[in-house]
Amino acid sequence: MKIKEGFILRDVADKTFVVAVGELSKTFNGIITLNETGKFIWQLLTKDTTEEEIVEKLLIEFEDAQRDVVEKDVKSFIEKLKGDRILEG
Amino acid sequence: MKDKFNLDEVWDAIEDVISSGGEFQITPNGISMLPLLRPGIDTVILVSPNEIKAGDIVLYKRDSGKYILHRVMYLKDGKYLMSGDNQTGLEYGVTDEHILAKVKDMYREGIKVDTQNRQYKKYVKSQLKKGKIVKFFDSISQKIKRKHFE
Repeated sequence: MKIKEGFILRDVADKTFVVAVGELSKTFNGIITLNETGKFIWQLLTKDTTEEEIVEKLLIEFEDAQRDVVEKDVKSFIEKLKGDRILEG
Repeated sequence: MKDKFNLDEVWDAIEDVISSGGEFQITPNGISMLPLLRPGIDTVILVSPNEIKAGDIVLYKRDSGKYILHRVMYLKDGKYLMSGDNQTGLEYGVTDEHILAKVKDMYREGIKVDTQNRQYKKYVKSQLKKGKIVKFFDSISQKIKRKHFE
């Protein structure tokens, strides 16, 4: 799965925003704000990947994180993205 | 989910959308565009500010940093004369550099405003007339001031 075409990420000061541009902006209206972890996951999702791969990469990136917590959070984040029709595949 | 945001904070992101040819919907909070746009209720669709003409509603940023959504009364010598539908005063000196976006469509309680219908066109005409009347009185008071100080 990966993020649909048409979303762009923009860093403004210490925040990260995502917006839909072009044609997609006509159906997706809003601004997504991402924290550091959200941004990390989002960037992984710009290429086709899986929940398991994301979890593994997060565990490497954030050494002190606990696997079960990471799995739960990633699942919840992916579900949110799916619910807002941001992902494809 | 956050409902309100500061335009200052997110404008760069919105600009990415409209400069890509896209559109962005916002719910303005001010009262200066009443009765047409009710704060927190009605929404506008913003697009890139191309071909602005009298009667258009545009979003601009004053030198003070404040974001304003008002109607163009007219354009003269590269400067726009602006006024809110709910206001009698005119704002002078707004230029293309200040203007960030143009309103493409408006939704009143979710229903699109038909900007082509006679009623709306009549409403805009009366708004523009207001601009002419205020400009007339402004020019008179300018003349009086000049005379007074000669």
